[in-house]
Amino acid sequence: MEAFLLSIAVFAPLGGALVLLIARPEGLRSGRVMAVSCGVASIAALLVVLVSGLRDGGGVGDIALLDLRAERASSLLLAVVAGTGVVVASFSRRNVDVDPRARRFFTLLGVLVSGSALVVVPGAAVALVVGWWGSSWALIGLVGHRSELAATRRAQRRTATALLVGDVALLSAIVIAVAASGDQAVRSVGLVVDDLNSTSLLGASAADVVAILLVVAGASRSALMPFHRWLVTTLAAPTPVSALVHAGFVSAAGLLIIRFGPLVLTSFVAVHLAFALAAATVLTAIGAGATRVDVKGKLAWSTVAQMGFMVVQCTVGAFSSAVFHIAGHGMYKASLFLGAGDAVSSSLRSTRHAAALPVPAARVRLATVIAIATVVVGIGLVLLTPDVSDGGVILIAVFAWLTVAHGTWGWLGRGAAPWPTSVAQAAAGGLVAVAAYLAGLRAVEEFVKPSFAAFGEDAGVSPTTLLGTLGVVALLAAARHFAPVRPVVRADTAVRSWLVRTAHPAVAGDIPIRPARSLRRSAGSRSGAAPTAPDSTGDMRRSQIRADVARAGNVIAPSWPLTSVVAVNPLGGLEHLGFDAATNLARTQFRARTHLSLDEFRRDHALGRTTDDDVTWAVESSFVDLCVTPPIEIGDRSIPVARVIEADLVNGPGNSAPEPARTVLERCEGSPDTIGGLIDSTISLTAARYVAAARSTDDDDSFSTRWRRDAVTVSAMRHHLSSDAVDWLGMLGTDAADVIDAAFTAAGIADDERLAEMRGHLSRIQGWAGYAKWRTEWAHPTESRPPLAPIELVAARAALEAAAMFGASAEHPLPRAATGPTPIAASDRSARLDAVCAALDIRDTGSDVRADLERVLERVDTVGRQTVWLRAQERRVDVEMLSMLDRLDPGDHLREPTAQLVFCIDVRSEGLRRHIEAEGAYDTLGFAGFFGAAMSVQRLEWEQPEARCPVLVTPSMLATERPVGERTESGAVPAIERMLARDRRRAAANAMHARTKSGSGAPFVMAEAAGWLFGPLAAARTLVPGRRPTTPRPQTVMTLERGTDHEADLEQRIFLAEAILRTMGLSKGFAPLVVLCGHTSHNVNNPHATALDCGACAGASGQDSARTVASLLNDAGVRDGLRDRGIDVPSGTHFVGALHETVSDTVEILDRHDIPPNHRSLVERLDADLATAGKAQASVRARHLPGPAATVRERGVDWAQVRPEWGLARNAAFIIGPRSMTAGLDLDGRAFLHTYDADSDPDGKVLETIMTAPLVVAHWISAQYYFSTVDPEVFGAGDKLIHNVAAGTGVISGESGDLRVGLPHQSTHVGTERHHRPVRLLATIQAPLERIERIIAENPVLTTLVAGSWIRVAGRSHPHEPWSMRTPHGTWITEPRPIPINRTLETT
Amino acid sequence: MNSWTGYTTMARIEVVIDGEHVPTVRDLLLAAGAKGFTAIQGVSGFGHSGAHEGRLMFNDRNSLTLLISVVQMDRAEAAVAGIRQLLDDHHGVVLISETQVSRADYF
Repeated sequence: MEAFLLSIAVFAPLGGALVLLIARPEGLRSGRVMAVSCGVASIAALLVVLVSGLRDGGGVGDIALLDLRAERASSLLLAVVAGTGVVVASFSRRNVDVDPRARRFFTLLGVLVSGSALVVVPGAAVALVVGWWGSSWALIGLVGHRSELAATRRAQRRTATALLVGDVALLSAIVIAVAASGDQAVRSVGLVVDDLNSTSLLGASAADVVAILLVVAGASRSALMPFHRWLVTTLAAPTPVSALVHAGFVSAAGLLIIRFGPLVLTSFVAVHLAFALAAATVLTAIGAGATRVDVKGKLAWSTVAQMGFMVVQCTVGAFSSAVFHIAGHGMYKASLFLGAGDAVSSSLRSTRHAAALPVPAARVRLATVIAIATVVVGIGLVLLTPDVSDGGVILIAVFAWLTVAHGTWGWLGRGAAPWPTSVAQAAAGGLVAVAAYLAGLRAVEEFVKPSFAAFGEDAGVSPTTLLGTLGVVALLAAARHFAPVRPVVRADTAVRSWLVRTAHPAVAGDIPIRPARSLRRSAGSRSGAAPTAPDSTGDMRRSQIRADVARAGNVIAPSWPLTSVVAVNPLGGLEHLGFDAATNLARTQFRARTHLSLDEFRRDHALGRTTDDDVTWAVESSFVDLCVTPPIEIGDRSIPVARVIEADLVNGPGNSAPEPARTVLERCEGSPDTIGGLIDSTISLTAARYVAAARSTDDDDSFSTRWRRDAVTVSAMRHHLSSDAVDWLGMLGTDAADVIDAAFTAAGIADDERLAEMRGHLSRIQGWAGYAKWRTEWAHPTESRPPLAPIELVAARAALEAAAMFGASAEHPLPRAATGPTPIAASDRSARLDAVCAALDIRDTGSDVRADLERVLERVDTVGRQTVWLRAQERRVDVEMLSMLDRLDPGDHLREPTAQLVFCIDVRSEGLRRHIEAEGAYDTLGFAGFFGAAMSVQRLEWEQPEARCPVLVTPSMLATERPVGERTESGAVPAIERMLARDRRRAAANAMHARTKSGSGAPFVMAEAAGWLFGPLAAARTLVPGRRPTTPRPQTVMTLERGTDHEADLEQRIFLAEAILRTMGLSKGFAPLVVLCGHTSHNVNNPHATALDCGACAGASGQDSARTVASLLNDAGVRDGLRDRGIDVPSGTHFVGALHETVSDTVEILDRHDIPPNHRSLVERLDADLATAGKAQASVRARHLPGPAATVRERGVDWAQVRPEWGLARNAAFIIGPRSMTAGLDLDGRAFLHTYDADSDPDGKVLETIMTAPLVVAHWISAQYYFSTVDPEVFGAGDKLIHNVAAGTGVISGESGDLRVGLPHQSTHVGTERHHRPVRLLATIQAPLERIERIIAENPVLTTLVAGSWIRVAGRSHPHEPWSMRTPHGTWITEPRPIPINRTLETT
Repeated sequence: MNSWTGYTTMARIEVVIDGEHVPTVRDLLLAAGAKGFTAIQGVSGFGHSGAHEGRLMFNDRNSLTLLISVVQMDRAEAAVAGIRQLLDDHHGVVLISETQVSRADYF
């Protein structure tokens, strides 16, 4: 039975992997198989722990062949490995979900878990080797999950190299040991130490050789020096893999020393080698981690440091402490990795806490901290003295003290309560924490003690050596802080550069690049020429260069930080060129796809998403001269040219788009992934560290200084720069325009090439260029992130390219330069021709016929075919949408509603509106979710106000939250005070945790202690995801003010209220209850969470806007004023705010305390109806989401969920008109709905407002979805599984690289299937056509969008008229006739 | 224009441009030595590229803006050089004239 339990605990995941290999289940089932397998394993492992605990010193197992036998320590670690396995597998089930490589992923996961378990459990030599090697190669496979990315492949190679060293070392050690003493050496090494000592090998004791090889193997796998760089590169793997690796896989060094303790500890050389490597690793990893500005990178280096600490514990004989650490840290780090996506939300929360109470001066705090830490740790150690070696006690005492000190510093510094209370809280909390930690440690010590009975007490590194090492470290730290003499500063600078290099292997490492003959392009002009100091550029030229950079910047869209995502058209700066020209330019500049591929279009056609009729229509409307082009005569057949093009579209071969070069270096290298790629990585690293350093005080260098320094001291660029090039970089001035001029001159860029070259530079680092564009053109003046201008990025990139070209050498030539677009292969032409002939049943393919057909086909290139296909797809949308709108009998939808609900125009409101209308006499309206109030909001607990309006508008008012309810004599409201106090405590707790994670020496004890709490919590969040109870917010009211310190005058508020109601189309016929319903999306662990919030509220919740405007419209003075202006709001009408939560489709009515008594029954009925409507809407949405329908409303609280909801995916149309036009129609969540009554707007001002703001924003959203879908890697943010929040601003993929822009792959796709249908937005407007036309003509923003074919406009003047489509030329054509565009066969 | 007594002759630069390009023009002016500017949002008119509406209710970025700046005469050409280049791609007007200012050190 015991053997059975142990074998299940070890092999169940492997069994699951075998099932996946044999049965090959699809998609989600793979995850289920592995989760169940790991679940079974973890239950068995817990039973093994139980049985081994009941047995006094005995083990569990004795499995035939492998001879596995788990004693107490290994059974405990086995439980941690299996437990982490089930958590990770269960997490991955929802995280990896429909990834096309899910089965491979879960198969490798099973191998990794079982392999790690085999390493933990002592057994036969073959078991250890198989487990070790199997887990190594499973990990290497998992790191390559996204092997199509070059960075992933590099990471995979680096990981494989490092692990291979360890694999070989382990195998060698085992072979030697077995050869010397038989298999017994591996099972019970303590028994054979003497045998090994008596055996000589290469002049040394076999025991020493084996011990050293074991240390090398452990060091390799635990990322100890000199193997420390590989772990951070595994960030290329999906997040759950990182969790598993950091939770158990990397603990190998400790496991080996624990398992072979008597052998390693008695070898003086081996144990001191391990100690030295571990100590050096701790110091290096702490320093390296401090230089990282990405969440996962910091975690990875933290793990490396923790591994060093754990090995130090082992080498000083503190084995039970090491077991406690391996288990605790493993659970802690797994939890942090799984929750790494929460970094953006945490950042937002940190700015939304109540202001801290005053705290004393730093000296007072420091003294208090020292006193508390000393007393608390002292009491703890006296009462609960650890039962470990002396060295172990020293480690616990020193590092527990540091943890308590840092935690206390964090708590006291945040001013959670008045000072004496804060001190008391810190002391009490510290005492409880230390007592819990030491008690837990003692419990584990007692449990695992029998496992180490055979280990010598005095073996290992002596306490003196340990204390000496700690003393040296303390002296070095003190010298750095207190003795800033020149040698120390110089050494410190050198060490810092080395640490940055160490921390960023992907940028600084020995990337195999072949530089650089043709870097010396125009070799005659520059080859070997010594660089000279660049001339200073004249003012006029500088001005022109700056303007050119601004023009070049049109290829880049501004990229908002993830704390407030705003959807933008990635080609927004090129809108003036029109869609076709802009996409042509984008294809050149980004090497991007701007349309679906021909194969994808054809697949959609085969699936019925476009019909033959659509294709015919698209062909005929795309080529206006078809009707006069003579048909092709073949014998007695006459085939119209249009049919030939259609046949080619539907049946022809796929496309092979050429990839043009963007910059001079790229033209020389012929590939973007060589030195040019290294330059991109270097600038991205510099930018990330520059932005992240904004709040730090130790490095305030400018971006201009930083990129030069990083290029020559950090990046692998330094290997490719000659000394002349380095000198030249140093001679460049600080003005970015001067740098660009010098760089272009040096690189031989002619004046007429410069604009394109600048575009090329920006497009290669579009993420940071987007940040720079946002920071320069859109950010609020009070923005705390540092300024960075696009011109600085161009300067950096151009200069580094020029410098690299100086550095080219004949010994390392570049590949030959690319020579322009790839010519279309003859085979491609032939394939098209054959396909057309087959489709049209043309058997006579004589030379004349072929020539005729070829002439037609040659004129429709790849892009031309894609353009026609796009029109065909859009035609299908137009037909579906307009025919639906035509079917309805126009007329007022509802005469006397009991309530009117105003929803945001967001497409997610459409379904809910339909369902609530079906529940009763409810009328719904659509309006921008900020409800027309361009304002900032100051909540009670926030330190700074936040904007709550579209980014097109500058907030002109301030809405302040004020308490209501009974006040004390001091004027305070007790409930509010309690809320603020709670908020401050939460902020202080966060500060305490942050400090213990980053403070010198603090994380070691914190991680091993907190893991025992974090681990079970992570398991609970994963296995039983659910909503956590929240404390209800006290009653408050929103007050609208103008400016910052005085209430808006009444006239101003009346004016605003009138504008809101008239634009909303609600100036008469008020119901007794009017609900203003904002929306938000509650989802956790999602860096892109704010992208699911209300775009009209600047990527935030619409709650405050709804509350504020409702309060404004209930104001008696405002209503009097409205009456004078012709809007008579009945006294029986009450406005109330509400919040639609789009993941669960629940609607919460807000400010219920303000609802008049006679409205309460109405609100209660509405509550019930909204609940019913929300349930119905959620069930509709469930049909589109992968995974079980029953949990659709819980996806937001599931931290493993990468797709909490679909957001605005599948949006296709913007409908402006009365609700009667769309009421009752199921628009499938594809339409933005804006209420508009043309009769109430004779001068068209309301329509102009709708078309120049909400329509423009909807177009941005539509365009962002379009481009993120057609090229998820260039215009989208790629795979969420490898996202890594960087610089508190955006995400990078894996360990390094540019910021990602656009939407993640999971927001537009399900696996390889597109969920979003990429088409341009259709604007459907019911209003007089001449009014629409006038508004378009008078507003350049609309002229650009319509004439440039960015949007299509359909209109009808009256409900009884058919819809007409507006042509780009300004005429209106009634469907279904084709809409001609400026395209002829000759010009295509 | 003759200089008025006690006044200093300087260059007045007026730029009418889409609101979305205002940050770029602002940066060009400041980089060329201008010490300040005045911006009037939502100007309307009619010209080479057709009619332009004035202020839009919910869109500050796409209405026309008039920027006025005064710079020393020897800085004017550099300031305008970049703006002219920008107008190669976008609608807009740039006007330069001499003007008299009473407190030259303000500019």
